[in-house]
Amino acid sequence: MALTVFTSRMTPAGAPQGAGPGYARAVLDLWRLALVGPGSLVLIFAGLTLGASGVGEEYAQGTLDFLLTRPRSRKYFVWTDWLTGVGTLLLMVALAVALSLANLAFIARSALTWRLLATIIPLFVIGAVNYSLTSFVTTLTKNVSSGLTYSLGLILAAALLPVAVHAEWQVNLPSLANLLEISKWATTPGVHFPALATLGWCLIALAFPLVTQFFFERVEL
Amino acid sequence: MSEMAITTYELRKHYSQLRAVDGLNLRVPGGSVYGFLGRNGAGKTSTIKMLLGLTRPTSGFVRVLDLDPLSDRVAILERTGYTSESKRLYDWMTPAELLRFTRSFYPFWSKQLEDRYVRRLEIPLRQPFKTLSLGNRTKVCLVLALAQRADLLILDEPMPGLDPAVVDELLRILAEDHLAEGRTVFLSSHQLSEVEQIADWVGIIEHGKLLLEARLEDIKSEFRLVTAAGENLPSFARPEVLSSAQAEGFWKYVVARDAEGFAARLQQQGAVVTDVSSLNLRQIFLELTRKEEPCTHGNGGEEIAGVPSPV
Repeated sequence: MALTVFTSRMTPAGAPQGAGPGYARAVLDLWRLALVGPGSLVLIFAGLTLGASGVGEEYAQGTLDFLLTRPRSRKYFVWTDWLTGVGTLLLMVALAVALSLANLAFIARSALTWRLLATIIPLFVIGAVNYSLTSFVTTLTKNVSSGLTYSLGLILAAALLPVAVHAEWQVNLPSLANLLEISKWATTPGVHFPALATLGWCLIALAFPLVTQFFFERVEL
Repeated sequence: MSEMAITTYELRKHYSQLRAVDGLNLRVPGGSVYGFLGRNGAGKTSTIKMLLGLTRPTSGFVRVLDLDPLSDRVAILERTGYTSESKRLYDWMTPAELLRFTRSFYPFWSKQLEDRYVRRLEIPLRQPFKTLSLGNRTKVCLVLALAQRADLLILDEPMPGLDPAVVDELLRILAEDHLAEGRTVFLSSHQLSEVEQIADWVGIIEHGKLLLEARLEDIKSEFRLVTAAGENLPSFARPEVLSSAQAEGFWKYVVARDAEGFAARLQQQGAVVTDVSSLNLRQIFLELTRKEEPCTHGNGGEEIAGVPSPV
């Protein structure tokens, strides 16, 4: 939001005299950093919060028997809940990126601006993986605070473990944080889009609700 | 649909060492009001959870509306209204929102009935659920089940917090709108006097076993408490004797039929029969369930129901 206010003042009229492509690039980079830095943190937080407020929360509220006596399969509840959460995350990311584009197209008029749209992909995947994990752990532990705590622990471990392994043995483990490098693609010509990594993390995000469904269909009240 | 809305045979649910339900044989005739009675922890709620597919039986046979609760759970739930013992719903929603939310699940939901029950039970529609009194929460849960126009209503302790006027209204609703249309009501309750007002059948469960399954009419007309004094009287005499207990020098027998004949046989064994009295539901319940070491074997649904075993 602060960035929006700041850049909204950077109209072409307000640009430094003689500012060329370098100026546009600087603005783009600023946006990219804002999106992938604070943006990813916001999405991790949103993923945790949304994940803990789904089916798992029904345990805490004591409303699960009410829900499960509605004439729908348990699979229906798991996937409706998951899709709602994922949809919310997608909407959040789309709004952030749309806001960026609206500003940048006007300010920088850069040919690369549209590429910033691709930032939606890693941000969304990061949010979706965290959301799916938290949703699964909360359902498994049948407790919101346990779900949040364990998920946060797992997210931190997943972020730190590849760094530690690389430092010790120079082995590269897949890390969700690596997805953030996709943002370079948004502003740097010649950088390849990491399609395989993105697809892999998407599959992981999808695997959690599948496991949740398997567990939830066997849960006894 | 078969004659039975609910059938269980040798139904068991064990939680580790705890035998919550232990060989339950239940037969609930379609179109009846069946009072499912038992003390706290007798196995009523565990049974209901198995009927609704919320939990898996350890072993045994269950059919609800001729369907298997595990494989046909959704089909059963489409035709079954249920209020849980906990009466927990989404706290932030108002009754109006809860009704709108629930309505969307049921194709046969009657808005007309919903409006009528809301009016008759005087439900505050705009107040968040968390701020409602226990009685009003119970009423909301009841309307959510009643307006479904379900073939089967399973009501687990549906009357806590309700004042006598509302209980009376509820019983009237059940009688007028549900029984008149041939729907089945399975009513698990501790409110024996209310159950007695409306039930056709009663089943009494204790330690996960059915002690008694009988028509209420038969209980009123046939069941007798025979009190006798004497030496060496049998603690248990014949199949028609549902329970026997000794207290303060007297033996008390709950007899399901032919109480006069039973009393005569006791007298032949040297007993002095001091009283043969009729029983109401409360007395039957207490006689069958209050003993620590019961001589009760009940009828397990076999003798009185007269319906052959389902398997």
